[in-house]
Amino acid sequence: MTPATCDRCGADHLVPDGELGTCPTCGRAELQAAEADPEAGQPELVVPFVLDDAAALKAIAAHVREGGWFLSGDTSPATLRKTLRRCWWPQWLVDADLDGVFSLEVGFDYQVKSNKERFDGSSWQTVEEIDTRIRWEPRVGRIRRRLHNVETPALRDHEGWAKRVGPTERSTARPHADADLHGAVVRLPDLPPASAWAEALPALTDAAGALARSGASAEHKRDITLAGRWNDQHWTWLLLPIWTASYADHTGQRWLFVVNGQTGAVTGARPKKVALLWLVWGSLAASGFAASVFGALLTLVSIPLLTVAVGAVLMIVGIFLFVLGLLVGVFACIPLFGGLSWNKAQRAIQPP
Amino acid sequence: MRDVDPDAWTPPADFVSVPSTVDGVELWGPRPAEDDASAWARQSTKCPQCGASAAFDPGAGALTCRFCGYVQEQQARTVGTAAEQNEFTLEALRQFEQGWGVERRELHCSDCGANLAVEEGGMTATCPFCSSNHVNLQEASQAGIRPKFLIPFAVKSDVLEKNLRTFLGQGWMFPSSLAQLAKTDKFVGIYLPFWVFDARMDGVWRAQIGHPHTVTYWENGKPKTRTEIRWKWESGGASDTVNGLLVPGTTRISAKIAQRVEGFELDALKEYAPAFLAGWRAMTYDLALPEAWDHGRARMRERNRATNEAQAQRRTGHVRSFTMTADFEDERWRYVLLPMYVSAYVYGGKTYQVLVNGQTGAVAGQKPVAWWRIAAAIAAATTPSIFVGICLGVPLTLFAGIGFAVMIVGFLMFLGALWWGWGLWQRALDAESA
Repeated sequence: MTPATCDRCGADHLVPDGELGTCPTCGRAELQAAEADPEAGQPELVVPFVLDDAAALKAIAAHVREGGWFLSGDTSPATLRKTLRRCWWPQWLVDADLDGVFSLEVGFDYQVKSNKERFDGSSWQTVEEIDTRIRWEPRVGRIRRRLHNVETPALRDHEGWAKRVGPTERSTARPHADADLHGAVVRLPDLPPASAWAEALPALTDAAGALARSGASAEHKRDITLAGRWNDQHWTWLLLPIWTASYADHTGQRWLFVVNGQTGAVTGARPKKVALLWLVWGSLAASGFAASVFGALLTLVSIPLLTVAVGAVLMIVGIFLFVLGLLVGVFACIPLFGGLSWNKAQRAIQPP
Repeated sequence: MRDVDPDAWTPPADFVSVPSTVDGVELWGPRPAEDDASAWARQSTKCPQCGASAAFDPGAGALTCRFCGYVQEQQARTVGTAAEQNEFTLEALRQFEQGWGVERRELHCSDCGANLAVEEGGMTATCPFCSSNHVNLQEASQAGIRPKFLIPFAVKSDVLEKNLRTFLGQGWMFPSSLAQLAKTDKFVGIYLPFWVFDARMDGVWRAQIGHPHTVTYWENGKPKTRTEIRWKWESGGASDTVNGLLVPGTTRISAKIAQRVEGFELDALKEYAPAFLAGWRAMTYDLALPEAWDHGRARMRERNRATNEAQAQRRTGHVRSFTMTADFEDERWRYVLLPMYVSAYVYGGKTYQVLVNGQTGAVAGQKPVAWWRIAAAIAAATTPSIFVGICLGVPLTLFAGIGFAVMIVGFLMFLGALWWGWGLWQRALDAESA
């Protein structure tokens, strides 16, 4: 595989030889060949894909449909298929020996009987209810254990894309084979173990708290503090299955869809075409204005004709058109403001 | 993460080791409240100076020895209404703690069935509920929870006697000789079990509220008005918070009489200490928590219904089809011992029960009624009406129609006297019943 990097987003990848293509991480620039990093390790485990390319496109199509009307750009399956790429995104699994002390609060479920009473005018009926509550108790302790396979981010933007496509079940993970990487893009960790340790500590602390909770036979835990030494750390490079596809909106700005290759969860921006929103608003507002003016004129004209039946009919029609025109003018704002607000939310998913 | 040497680390002093189900994880938790079994372990109430039996003296508020004058102050903390409360957990409802702790045994009255926990050696006693001297020793019951709080006796015997004499001497409807029965040696100071309930009720009502409406109509060509009620469905809601509702934990005393002397000041609640029971009797509950809560909840919801009905009434004064729901929230309970002097005495072949609040000295109880006085009072009340209606009304009919008016007045007076007599009769029955 060939090392490649994206000059725009800075993500490093391994791509099939001779297939640089569009960056599958930002979808907005062409990948450039890069020097191989001699210190980069090798992936050890993969979580196999559950979705094939057709299923991934189907998931994206459903995601696009949820975006509603006036979407900008060509998001048809035919267009998206051209940019669809099978990717592996990295995650660390950390093993470490912990020799430390901790404090936390553990919560035990207990049940309480309560009552609802109903008075029907002559007597009371009682309905008993069972509520489940949590009794919190402090615990301190000493822990000497090796913690295994604690999930730790390997990407700086883990909180972004990776979190939005939801968790991946690791129980199906297995050692990777060459066939897994064939034709796929491997995104390289941008948080090497030395840098990822700070990211790993909260997860390790939480894992230690989970052991303490389990040791106390409690159902809940909170307020964990941990002090001690971590030794003999071992980092396992896990590959998570991801599909990506990109498209260009009417301005040429490219947007990315990311699909969890195991669950089918999709994330990605679907901005609406602002010019189309204004056009719709203008058309509706103009129609409303015209109807109002026509209705007002019709009403005025009908006044001298009120002595005959047709005058009353004209007046009713005129008033109806006037009110209808006003309502259309007012409601014309809804798609405009709704669309602008939608676009703001989409830019939070992937800034332009 | 701080670098701590786990080998040098020690848990806080008030923490104890607790089991862990995970290898490599050791756990410590807060030391549990003093083990109930040890807190309630058998303790001697003998005087440390002379070895005689010491008893709690309400006057001194301490354990005292009447032989050598030794006084041992009690260190029990006054917790008042901050005393620990319990939730209605399924676990608590199923499992009650057991036993009494101080070396006690249960006296079982073969006549009325009352169970009385008394100190060892107190094998003979007169049952305060039925005056029976025929009692049988029975091993202390193990089915019960331990009361963790109590209010110590504070009323001395001289005050008791004075209050009792006043109570028995009150009222014209009772025999004059009744006050002579007020002898304190007939009274037994006994810690009675009480359940204390707290709860909040959120009531929501729905009812038809009648709105008066003036309607004008024509009759014989003249406008007239009448008021009609237009009914509309309306709703509202009111919450109530009840703190410290007392429900006797025993059916051996009259709940009605107990309620009359219930004015206990729960601010004086103290943590249980065996010395408070020394020389006094104490009774285990025979009305369990679920049943007692049924009683308490019934009183609470009626109170909430009254609050909600009053709110509905305030709308226009016309209410019908009133229904409501009351959601109980934050329900809590305590089990406490409260001091009560209990007695039963025989008068005219019947047994009557009297209770004296051991904290405040308030007295209530059954009193025999001099029924001839009731009959005389009713007769005295009805006589004027009979006189007016018959002696005046009938002769006057011979002279003019006014006689019928006088007869009607006499009849109304008779009805009024009967109404008053009925109320008096009920009060008398109430005074005599338990």
